[in-house]
Amino acid sequence: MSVELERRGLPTAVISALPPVAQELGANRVVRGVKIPHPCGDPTLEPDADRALRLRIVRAALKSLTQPTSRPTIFDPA
Amino acid sequence: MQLELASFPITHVTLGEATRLDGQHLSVSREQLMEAVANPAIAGVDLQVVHPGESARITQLSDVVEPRVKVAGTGDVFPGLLGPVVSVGSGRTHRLDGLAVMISGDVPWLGASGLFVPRNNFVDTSGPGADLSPHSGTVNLVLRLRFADGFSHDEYQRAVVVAGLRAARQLALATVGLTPADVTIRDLSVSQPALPRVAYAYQVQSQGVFMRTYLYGRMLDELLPTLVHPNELADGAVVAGGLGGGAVKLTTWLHQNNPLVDGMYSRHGAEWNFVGVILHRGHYYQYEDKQRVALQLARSAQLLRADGVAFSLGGGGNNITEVMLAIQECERLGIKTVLLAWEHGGPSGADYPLPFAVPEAAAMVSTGSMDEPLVLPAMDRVCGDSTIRVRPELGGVPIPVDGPLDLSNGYELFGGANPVGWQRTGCIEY
Repeated sequence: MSVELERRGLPTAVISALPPVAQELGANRVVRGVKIPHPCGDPTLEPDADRALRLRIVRAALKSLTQPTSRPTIFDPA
Repeated sequence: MQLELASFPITHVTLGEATRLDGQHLSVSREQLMEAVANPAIAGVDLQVVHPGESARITQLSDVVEPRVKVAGTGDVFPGLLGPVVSVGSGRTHRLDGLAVMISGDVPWLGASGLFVPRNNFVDTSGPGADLSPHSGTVNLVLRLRFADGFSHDEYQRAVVVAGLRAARQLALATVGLTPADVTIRDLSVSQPALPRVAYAYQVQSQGVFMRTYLYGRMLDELLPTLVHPNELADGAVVAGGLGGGAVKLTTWLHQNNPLVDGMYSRHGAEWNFVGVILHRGHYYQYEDKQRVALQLARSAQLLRADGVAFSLGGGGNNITEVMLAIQECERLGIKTVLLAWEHGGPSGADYPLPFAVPEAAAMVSTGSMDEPLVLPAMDRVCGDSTIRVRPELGGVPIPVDGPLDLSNGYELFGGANPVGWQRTGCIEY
């Protein structure tokens, strides 16, 4: 989906638990997620820590959208 | 470690008063079998025999087991599940060659969702479907279980696993004291130093209930790569955990009769030296865990002084990642690799064949596509429920199987895309 959206000029960021897999399939911006069952957070953490982690991941995804990339690139949440 | 694998071919099975072997005919006592599989989670058992070539569709299978029993050497078959944890793989083991115990039944759904649900499937024993499954060519003794209410999925799963193993061992006892038709000696200790050394990286699936594999009775959910002697496989040290899949399911029967193990043994000391099996699981949820599997697998191969490693897949999905990373790591260490794999590829076969690959994976053997549509004729007899439940991700969609089938893929055909390459299908480039 991200490849098709990018082809139509829409920047995309894919939050993935398996970044090299997303990269190999051609996703332009890949944001490192947590685990396959919960890429965007970690339910084993305390709620406040989970919320902070979710914010970091989503912010990294939004920030990556502002950065031009010429090839599939992995972004790490700060 | 030397194992004598003694075969007693079976071509005909009937239900009778006592369990006894007469030439290639096995008579089976219902009472003895019922006694062997008794379990509070099982309310009843229906027994049916399906011979190869019969027009029959067997539904809702959870496992298939070849009857075996040890008659000499330490331990007994299926250690850690049927008996104590004692080393197996040496001495003498009797097998009923051509007979399979099939455990089937409609395991209660219990409102489960997601991956860990009791999945349904089927096997055809004649017609085009029969060519696709390793479980159509045996005489199949089908134990159809009816389940008692009030148990958990873990308890039902344990019940189906143990029922299959106990029934299989009970039947094989009929061979004790008899002379086998054939004895194969399995011994890795005699090798030729000049020949290349090859290992087998055997991936299994063990993620949770219904998607589980056991080693000496231990669930492998947290397994890192570990060394196993192929003779231990022959004696049932590795057991499938029941249900959890159709086409890509590795049954206990396939662990006992893995064609890659048989093939590597067949030219051991002649074309290569078979140096052992590295058992590992895929489907780890975190990329770093997949890397840990890859590093440890490659290191194990290096410590075995392997020149080459053959890989196969355990199940389908993201487990390809562990295998691909391990291939990359082996090649970096100078160890050559080959992968045996089914393909996706979509209905026409032209789509991505595998979800992930690395450039180092340059030698692969395709065992065929499971995405191809499947059109099958009606069978004269349905052994099991005439409706099966598919699409677990939608909460289970019932489809009737007592008529002709027109399926958009082969996912429910039991063993139809088994990852160890038993099936007769393959791919060619043209």
